[in-house]
Amino acid sequence: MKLVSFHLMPYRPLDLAEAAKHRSPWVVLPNCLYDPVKGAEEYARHIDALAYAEELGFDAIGVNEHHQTAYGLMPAPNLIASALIQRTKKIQIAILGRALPLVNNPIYIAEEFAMLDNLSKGRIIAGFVRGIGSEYHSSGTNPYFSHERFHEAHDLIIRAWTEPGPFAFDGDHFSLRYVNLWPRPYQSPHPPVWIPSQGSSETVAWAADPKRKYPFLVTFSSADLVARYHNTYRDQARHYGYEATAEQLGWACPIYVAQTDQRAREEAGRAVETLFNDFLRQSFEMLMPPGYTSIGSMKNFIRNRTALGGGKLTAEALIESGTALIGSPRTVLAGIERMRERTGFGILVALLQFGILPDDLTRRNMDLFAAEVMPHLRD
Amino acid sequence: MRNLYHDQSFADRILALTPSEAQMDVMLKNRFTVAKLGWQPRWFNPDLEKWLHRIKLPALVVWGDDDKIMPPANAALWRERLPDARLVMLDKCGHLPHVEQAPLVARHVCEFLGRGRS
Repeated sequence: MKLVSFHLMPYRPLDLAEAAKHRSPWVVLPNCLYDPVKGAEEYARHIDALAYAEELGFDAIGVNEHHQTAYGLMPAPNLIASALIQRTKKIQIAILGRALPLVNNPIYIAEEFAMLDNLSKGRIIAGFVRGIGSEYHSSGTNPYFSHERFHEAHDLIIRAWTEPGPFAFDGDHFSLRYVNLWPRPYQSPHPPVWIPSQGSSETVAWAADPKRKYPFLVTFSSADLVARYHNTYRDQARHYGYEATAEQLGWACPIYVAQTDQRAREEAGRAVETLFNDFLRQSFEMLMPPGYTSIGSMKNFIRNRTALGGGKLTAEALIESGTALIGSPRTVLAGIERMRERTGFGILVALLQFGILPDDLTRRNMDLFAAEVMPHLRD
Repeated sequence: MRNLYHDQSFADRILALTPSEAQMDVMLKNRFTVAKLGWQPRWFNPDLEKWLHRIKLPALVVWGDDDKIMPPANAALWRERLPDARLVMLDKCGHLPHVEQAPLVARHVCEFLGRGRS
């Protein structure tokens, strides 16, 4: 199994009581609540913890992109990736991912990834996402064209990475007379592309397409939903006439390991609650701007109303539903193995720092995971 | 929804409805189309104000005095910039006068049109 150590880089010094007075920690939370002195320290500590994953033997470090939010301090994940390249030697760096529809010229993303791939001598994994709904408020990008822009930007980037330049690209959203990448990517034909997603059926069908066969990562969902999305991908692959491999199915999940179940819950319970209840809290309108999904998906979403932040979640409920794996090494391993039996997934993106979890516990969590869980996951 | 109306019973009635599948489709299609046309650039172009003086035709400006979407100060501006405009400010009315005070709005429109014919 491929193991990715991932942090969202939350702004942990956030005054949660003050933040709770505002509609959401996304888009509208006044940035006077960000203290640059504390923030700079956060960057240093988060990068230390991310880089530490190499020593522990993880296969990759994961970073990602979110805008105008205390939930994550990485509006430009490639900057963090660049810092990590200088701090590490062998480990892969997975940017999970860059939000393609939000930019007006996707060539810049192609160039940045190509630079990182050269800087790291081929250690980059390129994640492509649409950005969550809130990003369409903070960037002003029209959600109605989100899918179209994503697909077109993707096509442009892949062509820029693989076709001899210069060539012209004429799309509905992006038109360029000259596409001619300097540098070209280090990996041939290009860095692996992964698709992190909340599991929309359109994205599953697109990622599983035999032309792409992109690994599909399900993020922050209950174990049942993760299994359902993985198996939807498998069914889709069969429908296309092939069998999906373990390397095509990923699961991103908050994980905390301590010596006993009880101790793990005591140490990480509050932190995982802050991740879901404080840092992820968003209204339906923020998460689902009109046109961001198809009408069919939107109707399903309205029916289920299981929107993130749709009610206070307890650590117990999050553990119970398998949304977070928190417990002794044995408990955590059992949770992972259960999912492996259900879906045969082969990429685990372990969120080993989440919410307000402090540095010492994060470090201990990473150590214990590496010592007592990781060896059992090596095939 | 609540910001659309002065009289909250309108909002209450709409919020209490459980839309049918077909109504849901229409509502979502409306919302999607509004986003498609109005999200970027954001909804309206404030620069267009400079052209109001070119509208020489008689105009009737009807506004709710409790409009929380487009505050009533806008109405005064329209009245001022349009060369031949009459302003009707409706008492205890929100953003949708034709819904909230339909008979009154209809009377003002008919009066206005009648004036145009004479």
